[in-house]
Amino acid sequence: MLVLRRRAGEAILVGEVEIEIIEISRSRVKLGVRAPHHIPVIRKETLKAAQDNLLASDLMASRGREVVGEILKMLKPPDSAAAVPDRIAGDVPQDKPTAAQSQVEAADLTNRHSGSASGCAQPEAATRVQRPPLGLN
Amino acid sequence: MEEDKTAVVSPYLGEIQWAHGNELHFPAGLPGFEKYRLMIPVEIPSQRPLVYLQSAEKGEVCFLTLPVLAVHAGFELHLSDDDRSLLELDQSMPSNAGPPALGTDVLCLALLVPSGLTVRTNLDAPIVINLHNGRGVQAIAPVASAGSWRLSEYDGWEAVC
Repeated sequence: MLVLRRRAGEAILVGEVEIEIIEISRSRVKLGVRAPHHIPVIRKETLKAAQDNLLASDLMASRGREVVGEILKMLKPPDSAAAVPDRIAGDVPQDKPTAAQSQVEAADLTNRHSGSASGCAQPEAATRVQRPPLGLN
Repeated sequence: MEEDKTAVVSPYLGEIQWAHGNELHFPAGLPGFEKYRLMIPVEIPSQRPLVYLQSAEKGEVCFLTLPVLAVHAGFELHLSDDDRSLLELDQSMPSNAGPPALGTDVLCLALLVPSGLTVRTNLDAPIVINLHNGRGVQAIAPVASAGSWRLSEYDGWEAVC
């Protein structure tokens, strides 16, 4: 590994990427990175999250409905402290939405300040199905 | 006067409509999905406590999540300075420089990832939403603490060693 000593305000170049030392404190260094748009710059620890996120998105795209059913079977009845409070949920008359057939509407987010003592309140972007979904199965 | 509505068609959830400006704003996107900055949380009562995070910009981008406390009741949120800054927490709760309160200041969601025949989640990378301003970030801990959890058919959520 190449080791370089730099002071605040100094920089290094890695190919076409410039990394500047902006600030040095007792235990942390603030870096500024100038890179072409096609070169992603991420914190190393986000790499695993990015891989997981891609898998998570694929999950919904490939077998979302099936997976949701399985998960719901496996989940124990939600603990009251962890359940999503009713007040932020809209009126959703049907159990499941279906692709391109249900019309779901996000509620108004005018009061984002109200939380919940439950510990997992949602923002008031609750949803409601405007029309009942058609032909789920 | 009718509200200015925006909509996206999700292959799984169908057409979702919301009033313009009510999206959750992820200033850095999510890792792997950096260019999608606007998300809509969707909840279906019969599927509680599941919460869908649907991209407002691309119908195909949708995540399945759970409130973190539904996975691990002892969860404690640790936010880096960078994440606090992205969430604008200090501006939202200037009188309190301490950790934000779950449910009052922030909503924490655990993102579900397929794992064999079930799902797992990494509680060291929760999705955190500032309830005061609708800004969100995936807060990735540089050092593991809450760890990964896996949903078991018989035992519910189990910590993965």
